[in-house]
Amino acid sequence: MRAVIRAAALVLFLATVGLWAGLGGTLGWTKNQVPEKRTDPVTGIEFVEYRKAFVPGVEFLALGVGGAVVIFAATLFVRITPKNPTS
Amino acid sequence: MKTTHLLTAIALGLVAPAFAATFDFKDAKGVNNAQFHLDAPLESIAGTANGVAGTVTVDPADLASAKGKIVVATASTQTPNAMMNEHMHGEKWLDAKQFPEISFELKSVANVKQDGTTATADATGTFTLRGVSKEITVPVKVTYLPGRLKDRQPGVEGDLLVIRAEFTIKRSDYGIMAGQAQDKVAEDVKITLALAGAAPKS
Repeated sequence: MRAVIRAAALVLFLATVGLWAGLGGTLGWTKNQVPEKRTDPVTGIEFVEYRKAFVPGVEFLALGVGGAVVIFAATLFVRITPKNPTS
Repeated sequence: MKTTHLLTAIALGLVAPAFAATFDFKDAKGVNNAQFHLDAPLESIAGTANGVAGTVTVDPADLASAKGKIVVATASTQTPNAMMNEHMHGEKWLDAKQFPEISFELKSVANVKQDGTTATADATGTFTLRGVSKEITVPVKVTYLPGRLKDRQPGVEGDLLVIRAEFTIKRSDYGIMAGQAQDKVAEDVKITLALAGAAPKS
């Protein structure tokens, strides 16, 4: 049982780091839209257009990695007794 | 008699009359924008607003004559983070419901330095943010683009006026979380404006 919970913690850790890196994670805050600079050809004005995209930030990383650490730590302190103990 | 001579001369194109046009800054393309920038510990906060409207009446040959008002819809301010936007529009920060507009009403223009169709100047006016109005002076760069409106709006003859400005305000001056959250969000807010107004010829 302890091994299963630890494996779950590992999966959560790897999934978080993998998603964070795979989605172009940033060390800033999570972004729900990404600014893209454009220039108006007539006036030369630079403006920003937002593209919908999810870019995970530090809070995403902290939540996933923190959760994994808490789950793993719990296996060190919580005593798990088998359902049908043999005498 | 003299008046008749002057009118005749103007009609013949011998004397250039004073030409003041009203430039409309409402922009359906969403190009006109205000950008804001604040320092913060983890990541500086950068956002934009494109709900720009207002008019400026000016004789491009006499920038000092300019009068007008530029308005930015508070709700059009946005950052890349949805939660940050929610906080920014909320009661504690910009309170977009109660104060739907941020505006600058131009009162006077000084120190005009003209270089062809481009000029720099100091624009003084009333800046209103979150219901607090203060007189500020902002350095501006103005570019007059005669006959270029048709390049933006095909089939429409007219002129364009491009205004660029950059200035810094203190958020506490406008009652925005004065003295609070200074460890999270800087006191100084850098604002950059880039606007094009259109004056169609009737």
